[in-house]
Amino acid sequence: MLSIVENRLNRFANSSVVKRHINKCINKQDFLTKTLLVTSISKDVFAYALRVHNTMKNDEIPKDKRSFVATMDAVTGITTAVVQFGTGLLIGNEKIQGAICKRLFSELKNEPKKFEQASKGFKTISTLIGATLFAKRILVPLIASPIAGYIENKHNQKSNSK
Amino acid sequence: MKINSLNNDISYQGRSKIVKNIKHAAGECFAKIDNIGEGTNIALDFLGKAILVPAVILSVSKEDKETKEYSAIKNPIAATLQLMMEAPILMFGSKFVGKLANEGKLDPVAADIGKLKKNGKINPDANQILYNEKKAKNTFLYLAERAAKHDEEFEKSTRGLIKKLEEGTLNKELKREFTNAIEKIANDIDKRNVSAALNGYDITQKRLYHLQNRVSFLMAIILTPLLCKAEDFLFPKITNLIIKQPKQQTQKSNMITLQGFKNLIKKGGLNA
Repeated sequence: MLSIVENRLNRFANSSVVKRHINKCINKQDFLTKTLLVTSISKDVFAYALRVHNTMKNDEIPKDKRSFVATMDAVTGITTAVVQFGTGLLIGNEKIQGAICKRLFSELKNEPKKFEQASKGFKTISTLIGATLFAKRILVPLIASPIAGYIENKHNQKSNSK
Repeated sequence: MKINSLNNDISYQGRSKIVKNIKHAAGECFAKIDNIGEGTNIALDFLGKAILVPAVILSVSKEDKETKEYSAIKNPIAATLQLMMEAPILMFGSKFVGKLANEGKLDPVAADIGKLKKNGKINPDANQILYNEKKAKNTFLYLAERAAKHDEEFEKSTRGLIKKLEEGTLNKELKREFTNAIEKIANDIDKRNVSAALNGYDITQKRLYHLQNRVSFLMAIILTPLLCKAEDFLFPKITNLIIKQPKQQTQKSNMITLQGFKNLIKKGGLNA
């Protein structure tokens, strides 16, 4: 069993896709930031997809409401992904980062190497904080609530017309 | 008037010095940041759920005090539970991958065997150290100690550094100090070899770190259904042990209602 896992891991670690991906993560901070953003979002998306799947199979929810609740979950999941990714891209934008770092690390202007390192670190941390804290915990609930309300109204209108 | 103006100048200068110091400290701090990965993601997610969501609920929610407090307290519990499940996956996943890598089981030499069986071609990456951090470290230490035997100044400047490295691992600060010391090696061949070994060690360490992160992430994704079930099972039990559910909520049925769904979203997200 262990040797199968070792073998699989070995193949995974030595596949050209993984090697290329890891090299890019080492050499390009921007790529690493986006990778971490995507891994963070994909965990949420996967959890929402699981929720949709479980809702569709949940016998405790009446059949006519099942697809509606699943739609709500799916919409919230998509909103989470889009808002987090959008916020991450916006905060990680070269121009915005350049302007912030220029002001924030103005004391390091005589040490270009240190300035570059600080800018790289700041870019990744600020992007992740923006997406994981601000977007996911504040923006998503604000955006998802009206969408849920809109879907609920549509659902009610359909039910009434029937 | 003059005194006032002088005081203003002094306080302005004082403030500007404080701002300068803060900016300098922030720059130094961000420059030292190393190894941003899945651990950072998990930590930020925990902070968001454990601190930000309760803060938002307590300051914005229009529900009654009891319900507000209940909603605010249950989020840190859920966040702790999530952390207790995700952190071990990252820790044990990384440890397992690290152990295999340091035994040389993830390097192309071993991968080559499969390829050789298939097409008889020799892997061009064979014998390369890709993930074996231990081997890369030993190679560097060996070359550094050998160079130190020929160069007294290098030996003096790296004695402490080598000891530090033997006890721990390479970090940004240690790499910078080694690089400065290597610059001063008189023998060109030694200089080139030690420098190449240091870069090789640094890259190998980074490669392993990113591999550990990606494997741990995949493990977390694969284990998500199990984690969700465990969380659904443990969360109400632990919550009921710690806090009393408000009357309004105890009267509700377990069925998912539309209003309940909207309330959940307002309280800081569903899964998360």
